[in-house]
Amino acid sequence: MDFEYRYSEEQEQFRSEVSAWLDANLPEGLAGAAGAAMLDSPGWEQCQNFRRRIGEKGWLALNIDLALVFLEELGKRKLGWLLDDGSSAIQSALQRWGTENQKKSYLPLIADGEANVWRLLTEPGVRLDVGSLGIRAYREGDEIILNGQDTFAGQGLWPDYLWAIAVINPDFPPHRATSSFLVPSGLKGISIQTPRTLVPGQTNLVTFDHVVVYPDALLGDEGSGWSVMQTALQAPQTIQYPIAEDAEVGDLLQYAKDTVRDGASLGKDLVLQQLLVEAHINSRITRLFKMRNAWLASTGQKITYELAQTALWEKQISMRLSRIVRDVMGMYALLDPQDPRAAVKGKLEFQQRSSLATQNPSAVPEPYAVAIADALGLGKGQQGEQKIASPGTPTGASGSGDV
Amino acid sequence: MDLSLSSTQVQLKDSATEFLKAELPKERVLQIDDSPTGFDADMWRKMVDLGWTSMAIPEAYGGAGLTNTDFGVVAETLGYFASSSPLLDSAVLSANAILEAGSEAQKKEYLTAIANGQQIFATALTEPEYGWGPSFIKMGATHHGRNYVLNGTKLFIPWAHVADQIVVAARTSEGASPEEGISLFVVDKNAKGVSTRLMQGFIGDKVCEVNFNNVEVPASNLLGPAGQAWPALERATDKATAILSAYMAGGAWKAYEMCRDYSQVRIAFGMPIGTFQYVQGNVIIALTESDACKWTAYEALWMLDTDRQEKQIGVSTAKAVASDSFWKACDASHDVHGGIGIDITFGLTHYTKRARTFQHYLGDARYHRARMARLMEL
Repeated sequence: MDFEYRYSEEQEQFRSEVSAWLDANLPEGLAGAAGAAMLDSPGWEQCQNFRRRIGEKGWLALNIDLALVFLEELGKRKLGWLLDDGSSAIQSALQRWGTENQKKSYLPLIADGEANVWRLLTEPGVRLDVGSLGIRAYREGDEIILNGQDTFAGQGLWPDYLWAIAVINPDFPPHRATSSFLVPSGLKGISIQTPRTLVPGQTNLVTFDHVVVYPDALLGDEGSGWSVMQTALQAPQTIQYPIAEDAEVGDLLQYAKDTVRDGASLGKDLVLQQLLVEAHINSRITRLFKMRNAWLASTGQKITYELAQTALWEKQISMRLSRIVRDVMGMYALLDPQDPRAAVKGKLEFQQRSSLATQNPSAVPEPYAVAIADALGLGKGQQGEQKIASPGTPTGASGSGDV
Repeated sequence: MDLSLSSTQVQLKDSATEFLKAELPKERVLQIDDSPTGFDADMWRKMVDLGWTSMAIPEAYGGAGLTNTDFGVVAETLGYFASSSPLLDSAVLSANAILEAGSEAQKKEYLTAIANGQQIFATALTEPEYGWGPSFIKMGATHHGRNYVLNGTKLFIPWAHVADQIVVAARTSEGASPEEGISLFVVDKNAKGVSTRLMQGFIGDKVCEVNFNNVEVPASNLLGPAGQAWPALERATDKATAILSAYMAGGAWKAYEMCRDYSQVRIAFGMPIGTFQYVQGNVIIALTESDACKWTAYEALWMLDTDRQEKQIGVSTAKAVASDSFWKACDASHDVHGGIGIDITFGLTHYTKRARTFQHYLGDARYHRARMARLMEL
């Protein structure tokens, strides 16, 4: 076993280049932000400009190995979220399912940072519930008409393109019922509302009112939309090796070391120590789960419950971290960056809101539990049972024994 | 990054699985647990023959010189089958204490005896004022001529009743810090003044009260310089702790498997109970706890094998997780099983009992989190 990622000479050379460039070119305004959702309009403009500059360098379309280094360097500067825009998933889908025209039209734009794509809000490994999809599609001659409303995720104030899933064959079995569309957001009939949530802009309601598209907007075969998106979300280039340490937990630990109360740092308080280390351990487990997932994906092994398990775990520990932050920081946990008394630039106030939003962007954690239960074959009786063993890992062989 | 097992580890795992599947069905676990000593001499001999007592010992002292991860693979399998034996305490903890602190002559004598199964060693650290840091080692040893005289009580000592020798931590002097003044002695279990009593209760591996009443130990049985044993002891306990965490991961995984499988066959309201969300939730808890336990344990073993700077933090992470994950997986499994789960012939309680015992052994989650806070300089 080897838990360390080994870097090639090419990666190390690239790291030097990236590091020097970021040090010289990183806009000051971005350095303090904990995520795209913290940015106001000028901040987002600055972010977009910076993404374009990254695109010009060719760093938005790197191979997996170099993308990892780039992510790590951004992570060191607590800017890993800059690339958390889902572009790797749409690139993966275009490369695998796109027509030649689609590849030519979209891939360069995405690679240059010129195209901001929002996609239907869903997570890898989650079971399709056709009834929960809000957009319907039907053919009218050569045209396809899209109608309905659904929730989309992505960065920024406005998308350039929308990656939608629509129900096109409602009477077919779920695996043949949906189609995937990549459409410009400026088409007639498309309107976007951004609900006023705890994390503004994290989710957006997009309405399609008799929007006319043509078959060239289809991404993948008709009827296979859900499969296209799920496959892309579970592609090796999408399931990345976890970068750097957890920035929020790192900020919290540093705050506890630096903050003195009643003559001693918070980190010396025996009760708080337990909580702080618990937060650290939880983030380590997340990292190990992601490492396992990346290893499974990169070695072509079958992924069953692992992605949904990781997502569910992250949701649960995000709420736990939220409480630990309040216990450690007290009222300071609630001060945002605009307050002159804010600690850690108000980033942990953002965590207070984002943990709730992460928990419930569109639904409760139930879909993840359902996805895991499906992967384990629960509820299907002995016929449907799939004995899951973590492939290639020590427990894998353990499944053979009965006590 | 490569999270797969090496070919040696696959072989170790396969042979351990084959052996334990044949030798240790759940009925046998119960028989051994119910026996007066909780020790199966015949199975122990077979474990020795398989080479398990020699795995952690360098070749120079009659061992196989395998890695901590190699041992962890076997330990995980032992945990999966709820095996109880002095393997961890003799062939890992005691052996490493001797390896870390002992002289060349002591290593040759003791480690060879452990490796070839001639002798079983136990290690006695904890006392009535129970705890795992150096400040909890209070039992005294005084120097008289060519001997040391030990007086005091050690409590919750695994396998002392079947051991031939006991590695005893005692305080030979007071120092400026709790770490100073701790010495390690190899004490003949049959020496005059040593008495053991098997402790009773809902306990997995058998543990003992060991009393030392004016026990004279030759100074030649002192491991390393007097009063300076703590660093060596800490290194030895770190290895044992990581391997114990792997054992616990195996047990947690079995608890998960049991509830997953039971949820498929137990019918309620005309359908398998695995259909119900509450049951699914508990199966998922057991799965995730056992996965967390496994990966933190193997990362710790890897850190020890590669001598990573942060290895102590890694070991304490693993045990802090294992201490809680194993019982949480068992408790979730009980929630799925209902009444059948508490039938001791069913098998789940084999794990529940061990989860609660090993929750504390070599330090509970609270101890390891506090240790991490210190190591992380919070």
